[in-house]
Amino acid sequence: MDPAQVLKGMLDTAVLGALRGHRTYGYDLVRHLREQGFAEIADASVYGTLRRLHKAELLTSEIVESETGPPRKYYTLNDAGVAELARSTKTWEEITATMDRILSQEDTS
Amino acid sequence: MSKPHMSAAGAQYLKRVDGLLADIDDDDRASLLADLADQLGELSESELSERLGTPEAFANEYRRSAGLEIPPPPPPRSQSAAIAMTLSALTLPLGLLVLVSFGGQLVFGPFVLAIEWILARISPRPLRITWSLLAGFLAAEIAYLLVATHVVEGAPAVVAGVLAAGLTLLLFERTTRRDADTRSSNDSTAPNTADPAHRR
Repeated sequence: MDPAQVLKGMLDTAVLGALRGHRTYGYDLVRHLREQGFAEIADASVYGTLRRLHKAELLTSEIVESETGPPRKYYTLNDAGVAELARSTKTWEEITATMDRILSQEDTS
Repeated sequence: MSKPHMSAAGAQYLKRVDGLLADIDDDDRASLLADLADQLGELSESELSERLGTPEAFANEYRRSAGLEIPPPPPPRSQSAAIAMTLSALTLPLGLLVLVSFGGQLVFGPFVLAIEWILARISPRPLRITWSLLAGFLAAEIAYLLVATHVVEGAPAVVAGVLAAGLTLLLFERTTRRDADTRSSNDSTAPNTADPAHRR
């Protein structure tokens, strides 16, 4: 199983989860996700996902001047994003619970 | 205020991504480029290709993740050259027709050429259609000029005109090929296209 493919399917949830209670910009989010263990993550996927979630009005953005370069767009989770994260988390928990049951079945053959 | 250091390869990468995503909102593109510039400032040349893939792969992955349409790849270069030559060849008789219709007003030609030249300069790659039209009309101009100014008379004038037109098209074709070869050479030095999802 390719971890990168699995990660693609859950990237929305990972991004929403990483933004819960935090205000951050694209590259900072990439670094954070990598530090959390998603070493296989594609940087472009994170940037694209951020844009899509923002267009879907799950995120709020704010342009902030930077001391080290051009202004940055910082993202935060809005109410719609929090609700979507709750739904995604529930779905994820159901999937992992199901997978746990299947994978923990003893070999009776 | 200090800016993160970026290698020449990094700057080139950034410029290429900027061009590939030129159709998305200025605001989103500027935001992406600011993040990418930070990242490129931290990567060496060898890490750049390993981590991000080619600019094309990066831009396509960004589009895919953002739910944007991924543009079709450009036609093969040999196909582009063939299309360019065909357009030139088709423009030649059209150009002659225009010149004859204007009753030999040769002064009209340079204006058309100037407009076409400007259009050719600003038209996007890889298929510069206006270059083809320019070559075709230029060929027609030369042929018409030879005949109309009576440099040569009768049948030899027609032959000379056709030869001049053919020579112009040949020169254009050689230029097109050289341009394609140069671009092929540049592309072969770029990092290999690979699924960026498989980066480290």
